[in-house]
Amino acid sequence: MKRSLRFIAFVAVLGIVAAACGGNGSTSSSSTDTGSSSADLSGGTLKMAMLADVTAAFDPQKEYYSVTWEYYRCCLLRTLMSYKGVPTAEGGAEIFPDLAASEPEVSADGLTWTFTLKQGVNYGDPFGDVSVTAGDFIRALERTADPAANTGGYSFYYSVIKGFDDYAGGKADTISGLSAPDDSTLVIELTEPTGDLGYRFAMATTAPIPPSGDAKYGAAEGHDRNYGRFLVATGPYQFQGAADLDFTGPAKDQTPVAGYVPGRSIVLERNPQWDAATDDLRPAYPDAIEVTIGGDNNDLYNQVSSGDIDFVVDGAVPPNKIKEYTTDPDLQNRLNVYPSDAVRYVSFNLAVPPFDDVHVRKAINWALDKQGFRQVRGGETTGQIAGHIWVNSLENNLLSDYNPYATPNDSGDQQQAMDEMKQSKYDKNGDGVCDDPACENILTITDREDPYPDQAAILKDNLSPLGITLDVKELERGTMYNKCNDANSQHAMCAGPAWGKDYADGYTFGGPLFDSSGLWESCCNYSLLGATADQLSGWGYDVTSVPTVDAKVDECSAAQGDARFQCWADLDKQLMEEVVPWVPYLFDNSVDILSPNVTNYSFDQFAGLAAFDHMAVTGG
Amino acid sequence: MTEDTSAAEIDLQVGKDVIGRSPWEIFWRQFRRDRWALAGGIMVIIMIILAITAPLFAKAVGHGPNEVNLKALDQFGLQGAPFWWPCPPAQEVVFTGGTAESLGQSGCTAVPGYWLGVEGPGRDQFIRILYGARTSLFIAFFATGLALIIGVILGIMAGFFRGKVDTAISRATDVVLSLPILLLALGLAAACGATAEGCLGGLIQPGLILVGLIIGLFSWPYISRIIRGQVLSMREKEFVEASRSLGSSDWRIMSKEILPNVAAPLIVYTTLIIPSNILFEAGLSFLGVGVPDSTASWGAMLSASGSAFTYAPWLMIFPGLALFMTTLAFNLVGDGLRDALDPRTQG
Repeated sequence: MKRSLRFIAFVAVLGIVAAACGGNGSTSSSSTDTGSSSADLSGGTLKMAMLADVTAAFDPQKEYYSVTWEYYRCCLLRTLMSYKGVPTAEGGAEIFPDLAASEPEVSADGLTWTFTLKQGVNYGDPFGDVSVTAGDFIRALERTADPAANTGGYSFYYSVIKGFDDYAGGKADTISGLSAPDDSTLVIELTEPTGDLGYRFAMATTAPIPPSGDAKYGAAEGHDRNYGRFLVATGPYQFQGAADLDFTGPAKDQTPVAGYVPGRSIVLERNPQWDAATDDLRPAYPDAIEVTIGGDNNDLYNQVSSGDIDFVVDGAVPPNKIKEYTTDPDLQNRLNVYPSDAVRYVSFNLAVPPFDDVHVRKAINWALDKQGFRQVRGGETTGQIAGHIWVNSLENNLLSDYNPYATPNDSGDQQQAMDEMKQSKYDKNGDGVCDDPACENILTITDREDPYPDQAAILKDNLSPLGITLDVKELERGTMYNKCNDANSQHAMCAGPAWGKDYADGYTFGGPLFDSSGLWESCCNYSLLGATADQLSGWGYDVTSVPTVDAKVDECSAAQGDARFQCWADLDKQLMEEVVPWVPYLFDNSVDILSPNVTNYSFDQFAGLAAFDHMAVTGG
Repeated sequence: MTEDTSAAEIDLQVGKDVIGRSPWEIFWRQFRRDRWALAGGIMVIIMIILAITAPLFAKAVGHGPNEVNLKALDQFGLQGAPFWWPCPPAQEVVFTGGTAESLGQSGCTAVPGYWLGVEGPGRDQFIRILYGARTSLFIAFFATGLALIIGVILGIMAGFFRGKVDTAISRATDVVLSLPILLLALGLAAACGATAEGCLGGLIQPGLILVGLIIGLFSWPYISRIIRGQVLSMREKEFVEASRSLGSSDWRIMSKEILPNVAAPLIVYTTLIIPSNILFEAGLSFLGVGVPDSTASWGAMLSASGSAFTYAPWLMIFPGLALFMTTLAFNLVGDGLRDALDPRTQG
């Protein structure tokens, strides 16, 4: 894959975090079910709540947020390939043909992919008589490449398509690598073999956009900043009032859909054109989905307990609820816990002393009380202690028992930490305690929401025997991610971030997090790995060199099959033992509690959230 | 005149000594008769002593105010109860859900050595409350002192000079009084406290001083108004005229003649705005824009306790009691002082 990561807004991470914190689920005695025996589960209105709105008002070319991705997957937008909305064990990390009639044909050299479309799939209102054609995907990809429409999106994944970057740069009127020989055939030519292309065509930025007159971007024409509010659905649901959309007049005079009021509410109704016969991935149980936006986390979960709402999408189940639902036999079946394929970590800025010394970074890896960090999140239900960086599913479990800094009970080991510190140039007298002024009041950025202030208190406590004191700044989550990402901020440690996969491939960790293409102003290489001396001095650092793993990331992203897993695992080990940019502490679980009304639940491994289309409610 | 003399003579005749009492003695005779005020005063003194000796207590129980003890939390990270708390008997329950399996224990856990239970990530709530008293007292004296200085200076100037000076100061007072103080304080605290750099180019950093400044800068108009009223009537009094006729400067008259004579209402009023300033700080911390987490604050403790009330009521009860007792004590003292210092009250 090309290393041309564009700017990824912090919201991507935010999304991942929220997803990880949030919900997922649970459930119940009825097993997850994508089959046809579902008639008895259909009907009713699923009532959900979100603490915060989606990040780009549902514009598919901009949304890089797991919550929105779930809305797209479950309900609104079908893609060539898609997921079943189930956990990994049931195939939830795998892609299946969705709008494609079958698996794509790949040429022998891996450079040409041909998708054949299903017949008879029409758009939702107001394009009910329009069928999805191959040209509609080209339209979506052109919009994906267009800098005027893709702010905050993830177009870097598509730079492997021939002519994509030329179109993005305004050097071409079309993307030369995309063609539609007929309405049901899409041919994609690549600049390099890309084994995971199917996954990239399971992301909503590639979902078809219907034609509207002869406008270049079809229904999205003129809606560079707000297409999400005019979104034309292909999935089982559409925004309420989609039938009233009218694309005939000038874009600025068009009235947005009534079923989405930014910052307040989302209402989804059934898409009358959706035909279950063409869609074996989505059971689509509820007749309608109503979502309120805003509120207080604890209050929302109380409302779930009382049955006023069924589910909180992006919240964090409070520890007392986790306790209540794990220890009360009557409530246990309403608690659901699944690994969300995200890792939580503390990152070091390798250009800020004392973290330019690997021994200090290792010492902190020894000292950190990971068990304590997890305890204040709500205990073992909230995840598995992390011994390395990539979540195990992305490495085919090659390192599932690996932890180079294993300590008794994962509670940290002060002696090991001090032994490591003795080797540091910042411990001049070799007593295991840092005696350099660089270790005092280290600028540490974290989230101001629970449980991060508690974690920061534990961190301070863990590091004080090493002679390290922290100046902790607690910030609003979005600000925190911005500061962590901004190399100019001179932060030394970032204590609140999390990172989740975009799809089931190690590159979605290695590229953005550790490759130099993820450096400011891209995202999210907080440790500044691979930064050049010029970049470092430009950002105002005195340190002139930091380690790089660019070559290894390139090597891994070109590898295939088992070698690819092995390569990411090797890079993981290299990072843990030689580079040490992080202390990873938790492989996150998605923890969800459900209201008494919910009769079916499934966890969607793709978004790391509950699968909304699998949720069934009483009263149907 | 004649009558006065004869009264004195009568006094002498019944053999009583006339005792010359200083204003302090007169005040003290009045004040000590007010048992509520005395009780309030004692409470204030106890609180000050506790705040000063907080480190000794921390040493005695072995936990500092920011010291984290994860063993004082249960496996879900919930805070342990005071050692004497009647926790229901615990039950072990196995949970299996999704891919997780765990063994949980219901009910609360009383933790030995923690007199008032556990707070935050395993901190000793008793020690935290003692250190919170330091925060409250700091605000009580720093913010109130700031308000006092500004209020007295402006109030005396307005009352003494009258005219344009009075108009300017009084209108400024009106403007500050008409500002939605809480909203402004919230905005200021959020702007200067939420980012690492603070505001005004780093001049104002988040923390206790910032909160004190905000409170002080918003509570001076009350003092300034009262002082202005007093000074307006006082500047016409004979002793001021006398001083002026002797050629005293304005400064001398203001500082030597007028200021001592407005001291009584000043003391009373100051005592009464102390508790409201303490509450103001608690309110800001409650709303999350007060002092940072590493500084103990009753308001922040109360804020964190809200959602915990059903399963950890001690988190709300004890900081709430501390705040309640403190504001009550200062109010009682203030009322007592007012009665004792006002010549019209009869003891």
